[in-house]
Amino acid sequence: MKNKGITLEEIPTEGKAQVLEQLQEAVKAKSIRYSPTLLQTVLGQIKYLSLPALGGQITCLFLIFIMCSYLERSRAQLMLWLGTGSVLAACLGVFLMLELCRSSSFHMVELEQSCYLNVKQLWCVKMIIFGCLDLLVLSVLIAGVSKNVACGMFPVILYLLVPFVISSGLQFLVFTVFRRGRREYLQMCAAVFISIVSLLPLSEPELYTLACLGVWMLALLAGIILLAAEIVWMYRTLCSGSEWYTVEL
Amino acid sequence: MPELRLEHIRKYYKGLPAVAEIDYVFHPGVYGLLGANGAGKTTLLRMIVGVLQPDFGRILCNQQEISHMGGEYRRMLGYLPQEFGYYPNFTVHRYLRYLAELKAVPPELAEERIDETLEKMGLQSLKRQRMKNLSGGMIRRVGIAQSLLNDPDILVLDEPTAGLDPKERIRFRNLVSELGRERIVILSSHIVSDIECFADEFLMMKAGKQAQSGSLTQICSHIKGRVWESLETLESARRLSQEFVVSSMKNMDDGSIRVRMLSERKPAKHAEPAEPGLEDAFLYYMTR
Repeated sequence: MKNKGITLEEIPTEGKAQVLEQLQEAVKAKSIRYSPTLLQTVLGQIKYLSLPALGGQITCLFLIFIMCSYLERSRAQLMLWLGTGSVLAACLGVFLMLELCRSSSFHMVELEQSCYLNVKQLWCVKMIIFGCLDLLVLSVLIAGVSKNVACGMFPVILYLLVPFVISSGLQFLVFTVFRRGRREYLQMCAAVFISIVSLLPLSEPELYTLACLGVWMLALLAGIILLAAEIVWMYRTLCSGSEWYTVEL
Repeated sequence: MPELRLEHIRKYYKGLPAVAEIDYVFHPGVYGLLGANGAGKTTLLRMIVGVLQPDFGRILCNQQEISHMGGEYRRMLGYLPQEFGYYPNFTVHRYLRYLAELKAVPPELAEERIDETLEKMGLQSLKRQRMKNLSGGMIRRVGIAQSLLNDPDILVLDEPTAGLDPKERIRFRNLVSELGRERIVILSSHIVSDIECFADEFLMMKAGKQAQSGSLTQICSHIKGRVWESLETLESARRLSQEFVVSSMKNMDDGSIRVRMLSERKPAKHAEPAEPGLEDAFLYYMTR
């Protein structure tokens, strides 16, 4: 059998251009699916964080540097270090809450909840960002305090984490209970109140001895449970919906 | 082509039904959701966009339950809430850029989409303005622009025309008619004339229930023979308005009053049957 080979027909230039144009249109009409990664989302959201929240957190970091150098120079006692550290640690949680308040204060919850990256995910991203900043600030604080007191690093971590965790839990409680309207001032009042409360253990110096470490560990555990329960409750109320939106049904 | 199916939807609020048993199927086209204030329109729309969960029933998008679709469903949505929020210190551009990120618009397309939607809503000149400096109508237009950013398959607009001036209403009407060709557009309003001329189908709600649905012709045909017009004196017009549901009264040049009313029987001696309109149908179902 004779192999005739394959001869391709010449495509007319006009038809070719038309087909190409149709292809281009089809490609243009096809929706491009974009699913940002967690890192892209975190980086993308940083630029939209509110100035008071982010600025406050950074100011807190500077305050800790200033406080550490001042207390170091004045050769402060253990209780003064722990007192100042507890107040600062208790205040830290408020900056995240100021950021979370923004959505409901400006009636954005409903709109944001209907987006691909919804409020649940958005708040999660904000908690990650502020959680990392809190960890950085707390690390500086713990390093500064433990360098200058004789009780060791582990007890200092406990003494400072307890007011931080309990204050964050209570901040979430205020945030979830009072869902509507502008409540930044309420969150700030709660922070001041919790800071004052965090000074109470200082009236019993025995609490800061090795014998009471178990009490601090239990307090930390209770604080973590409270914080976790508050976050779960906040997300549950968000799923049920209506209370976060300002218009009555 | 998207299909949105509501199956036996019910939602209770503090024990009272806000939406009671809604069954409906949406195909590409423009749908007008009509009802008096408190009829349950906003609750129904909130369930459609997934920000509220129905207590009973389910909502299916292309045969899939929307609560299981998660982000993939929200990707298809464009939503303008009744109370449209904004961050007052953001510029219009920053605000749209922020929402484009939340809507997962590809970064390389975001600017193009923002410019396109701003142009559609006639807002290009306000791009650098802060949101807090805009008027109510302008903010509403930004709200409509943001709902179009991700080129949605399902567009849900709650009271979109509130605060728009007549020129903007016309622009909006033309835009929605164009959009409704290949996607589902659901508009709610308690002002019939706002959506009468461009919605393909209407869903009327009363006390959380579906009072009537269908095209303009279908809805009007249901009340054919129940709309009457007659020329009356001031006194008899007053008497008729107490006795029947009057949809309009118009002063005529000769001093008489043209009364348009709804009645199962001939309401006055000189009354003539009139061609029903959507406003008549709306009044009929809301007062029944």
